[in-house]
Amino acid sequence: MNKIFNVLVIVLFMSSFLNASGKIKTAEIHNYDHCSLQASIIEFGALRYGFSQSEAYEMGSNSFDYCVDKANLESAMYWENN
Amino acid sequence: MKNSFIAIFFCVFASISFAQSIYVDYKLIANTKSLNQIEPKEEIPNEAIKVFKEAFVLINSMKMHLEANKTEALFWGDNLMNSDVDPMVYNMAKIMVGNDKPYRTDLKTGVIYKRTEAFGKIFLIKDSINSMDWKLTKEQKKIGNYTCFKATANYWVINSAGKFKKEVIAWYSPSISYNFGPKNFSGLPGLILELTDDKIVYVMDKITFNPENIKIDGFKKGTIVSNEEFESLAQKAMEIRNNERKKF
Repeated sequence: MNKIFNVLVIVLFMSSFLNASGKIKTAEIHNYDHCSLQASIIEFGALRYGFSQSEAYEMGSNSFDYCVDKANLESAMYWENN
Repeated sequence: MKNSFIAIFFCVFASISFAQSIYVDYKLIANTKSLNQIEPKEEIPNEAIKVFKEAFVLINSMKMHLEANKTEALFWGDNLMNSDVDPMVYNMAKIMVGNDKPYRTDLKTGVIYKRTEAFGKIFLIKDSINSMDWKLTKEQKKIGNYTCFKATANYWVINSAGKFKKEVIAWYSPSISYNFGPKNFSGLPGLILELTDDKIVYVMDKITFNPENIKIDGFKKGTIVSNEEFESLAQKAMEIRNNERKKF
């Protein structure tokens, strides 16, 4: 009787665990790492296309600023919906 | 018929001859093919190529303007963006053409100032009208009603990736006696109606002759630097920023 009860407890625990696992969400990562990379790529391209150092710097800054704004917006929308 | 032709000719001649100031609209044309023609020393990532190509297309919707009296001129760009355009790409296009960096040229002093905001400050980048070594040719073509002559020049852009030779082709009209043109390209014996500066072409779209003289205001404030000094500041700023990025 005791054994049957133990097995029942385990079965119930497993079934509730499996049922809940589908509902557990992995948090999205929101950071600016990709923005730095993107800005570096733009700067790299601008310099090799023959734009001046100041133009390349400005293009990199422009890319980074817009990327950060976009990441902030995406993060805000994520937390609003979750 | 003959009389009306003479009357029209006289009116056009009089409006040019007695004008004290001019207002010129230039439309911009980007040579997108020029991006493919460049052979960079190192391969440019596709992500960057895509952004540059998109920005190049947007240049074609831009306009810039020149206002001048006989001795001074101001050259500046519009700030109008279509709502369906990616603002990041539009800003890239603006940087490529120097859309938000006005130029002020003074023939009396021979000095050209370019006003720009960078690193939290306002800079006036000083240049000389004589810095361009123009080669005048006899080649001519008509732009609108004006006979224009071709002049060519070269300049170099030196950045941390190398040295790049830039070719300039100007078509100026001696019949419009204002020795100005787009950006810092001035000092030719007539107004520049078309200018090819490397990858971008500035073409006169509309010209208005005004009988009144106008005052071209100077830039009020800003740290005066040479182009070399300004580029050196940009290089240092880029190095600092790249070092900061490496820490993360």
